[in-house]
Amino acid sequence: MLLLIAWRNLWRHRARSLAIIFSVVLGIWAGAFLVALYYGMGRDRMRIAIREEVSHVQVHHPGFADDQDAAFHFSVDSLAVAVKEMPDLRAYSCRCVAQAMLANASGSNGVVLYGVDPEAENATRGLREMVVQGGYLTNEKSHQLMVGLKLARKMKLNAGAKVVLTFLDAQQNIVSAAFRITGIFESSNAMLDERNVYVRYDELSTLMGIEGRAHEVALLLTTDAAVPATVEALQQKLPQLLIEDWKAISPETAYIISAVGGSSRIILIIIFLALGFGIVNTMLMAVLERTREIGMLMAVGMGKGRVFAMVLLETLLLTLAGTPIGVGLSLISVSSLSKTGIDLSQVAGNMMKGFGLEAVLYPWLPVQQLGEIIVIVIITALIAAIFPAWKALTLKPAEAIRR
Amino acid sequence: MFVMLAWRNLWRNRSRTLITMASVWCAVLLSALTQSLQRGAFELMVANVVSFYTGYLQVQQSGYWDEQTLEYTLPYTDTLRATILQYPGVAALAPRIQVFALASTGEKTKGCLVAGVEPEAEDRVTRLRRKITAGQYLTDSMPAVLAADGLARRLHIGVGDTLVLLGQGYYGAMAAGKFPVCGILHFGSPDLSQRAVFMSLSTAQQWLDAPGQTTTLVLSPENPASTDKLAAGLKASLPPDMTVKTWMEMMPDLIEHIKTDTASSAIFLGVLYVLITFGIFATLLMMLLERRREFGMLLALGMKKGQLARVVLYESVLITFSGCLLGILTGIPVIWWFARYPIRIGGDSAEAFRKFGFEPVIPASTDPGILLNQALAVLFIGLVLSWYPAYKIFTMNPVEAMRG
Repeated sequence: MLLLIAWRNLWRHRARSLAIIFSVVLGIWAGAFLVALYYGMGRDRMRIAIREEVSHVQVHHPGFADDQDAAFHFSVDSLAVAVKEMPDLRAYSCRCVAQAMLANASGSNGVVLYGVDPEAENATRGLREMVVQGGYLTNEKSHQLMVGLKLARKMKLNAGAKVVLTFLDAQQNIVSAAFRITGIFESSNAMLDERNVYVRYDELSTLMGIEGRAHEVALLLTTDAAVPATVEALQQKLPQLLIEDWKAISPETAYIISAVGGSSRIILIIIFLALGFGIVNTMLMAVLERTREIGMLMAVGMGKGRVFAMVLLETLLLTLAGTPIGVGLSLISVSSLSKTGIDLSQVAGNMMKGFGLEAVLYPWLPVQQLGEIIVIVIITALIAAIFPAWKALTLKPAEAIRR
Repeated sequence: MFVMLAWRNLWRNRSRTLITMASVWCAVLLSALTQSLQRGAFELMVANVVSFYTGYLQVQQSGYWDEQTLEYTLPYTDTLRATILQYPGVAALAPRIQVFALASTGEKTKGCLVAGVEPEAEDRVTRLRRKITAGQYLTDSMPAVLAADGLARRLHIGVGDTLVLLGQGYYGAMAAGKFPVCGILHFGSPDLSQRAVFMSLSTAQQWLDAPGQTTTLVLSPENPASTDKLAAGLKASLPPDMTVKTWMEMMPDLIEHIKTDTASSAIFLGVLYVLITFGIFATLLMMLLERRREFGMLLALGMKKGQLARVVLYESVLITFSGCLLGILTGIPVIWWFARYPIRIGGDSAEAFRKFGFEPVIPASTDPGILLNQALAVLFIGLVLSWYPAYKIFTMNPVEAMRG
């Protein structure tokens, strides 16, 4: 009965009903869109970190992380057996690593020198696609070196230039060797482009005196979800080695992603404050406008509780009407933008690259987040309706009719 | 006359006026709060990062920044010190002599960054004392060193152990010295934690055979927001062979990060404006619906549509204006409160902040420009929206309006 009255009331004031429905739609859309934006940014960062930088899982000697000391190496063969047994493995790359000085006539710079198998490294990190000048490492010529674009600019290096790399071998002897730059790469993370340089695994392992052994193995899996299981399985097979996932290896990525979670919550609170205030205002206007009508209802015997329930019910109906539209709108806008992306370079120029982010942002809305937003919007709307409903109670029937 | 009418109309239905005003007020408050939280987060981040080591400003010999060797030292004289400290806007000054050296314990040797500092001055600029996790802080005369925790771990040393430092002295000769470790430091920056060593300025000058020499003077400004202006002004009043570097020049990565965040917060603010606009629009729309009859009556009685539109326009403008004013007045204490008691972040995010040595808080920026700008933006939105009721009056049919 009360529902029927509320329902009819809504149809009697269509413009007002539409205004409230629209603000609910707008609230859901705004919340969902912004959350999708932030989650998209976090996911982009994570994907780039995994695809181009750290891969899903890395294996080191337990002493290596602290010291990056060349003495902490392990046998590639026994490890490859264990790695190949992993069910979700897509690719893996064994590397030897040295802290090196790269020098040419114009100066010197500290770098991290990686010895990699060209094909395995490309399968794991897609290094070949990052080449912007010259070519990728090949198995034909000897003493080839790849450097990042930022380092190349800093030290004025071009493809074909000769440089000297100086580093310590596994016995702490100083080794110097001349290399020729075959290619220059550019990844999404300019910081790494300044620091990492690559040569062939066979050459570096020979120079360091550790043939058949490696300092680091990176694993790319078929899905992100397989990471914990793989870490556990590998750890069981290789108890003497340290197995870490990408979060442990790249804490700054985990930091960015969780900082996104923190600030998106604050943003949602502000959005819902704005939404709630909009609804309070509109409903309050509606109640005041209907002073006469509500006074009449009370005069003919409608109880205070019922008036209160009626106003709340009206808001609930409007919110329920607005929710599916809002959800639909968010899904449409997020899914279409997640294909085309939002080009932030128009707002920020090419600045995103410096921090390992792409200039084009792909929003992403996890289903669970959408559910949360819907629940919060409905609660916000109901809380926002309490004040106007209470206001309706304070009307005195006799005075209200007189106006 | 029309203003008078508008004024009276506003008072005739106070609750309606108040509600509309409240929606404007809320818009100003929310957008200003958002903006100051975002700005506050940046300012805190910059303050955190510059306090690692770099400081907001550094005075150096021209050419030092590119080479970072003792060839470009700066004689630290009383006149130079007085000139800088008396310059308006400079809050504190910390002289440093900085070199790259090898730190050795006999069995292990690592590269490190040695900074000779005046202990008290350094603490005022970068709060070095707070970074101590074990042992005690430096004093001016004590020939001892503070080592960063990462370096200490790699060299297997602790408080009380002896560290041998090998570097190149001022005249190019080898500088070697044995120093007891009096304390261990922890830095938020992993890089500094791996390689920083601190000692007192006089000890370092003796070790490097460079009495009276420094490499950089680290300054902290009274107002970090005016760092640029201060740098330009200071540079003009210093000898021409000296240069002033700001943190923006010394840490371009940080600037890039801030610009990234600015781009996404611009989108956020845009969405918030859409919500705000609609909130104000909805109240205006309700006002129109409610007053159809009244408007119809006035038109029927012979009031020109133009006149009525003007009255309604004045009403909306008055409401928007006072709403914005109210927003500014109440915004000041609200923003001040969030600046004084910043929002604390909980859970995983807090852990990640701490890992980098940051306190997990988001304070509000108290820059008065933010509140003013947001109030102006909302005022603009309100003024544009104010035309809508006026426009509706022109398209109104008085007979129908009265009947509804």
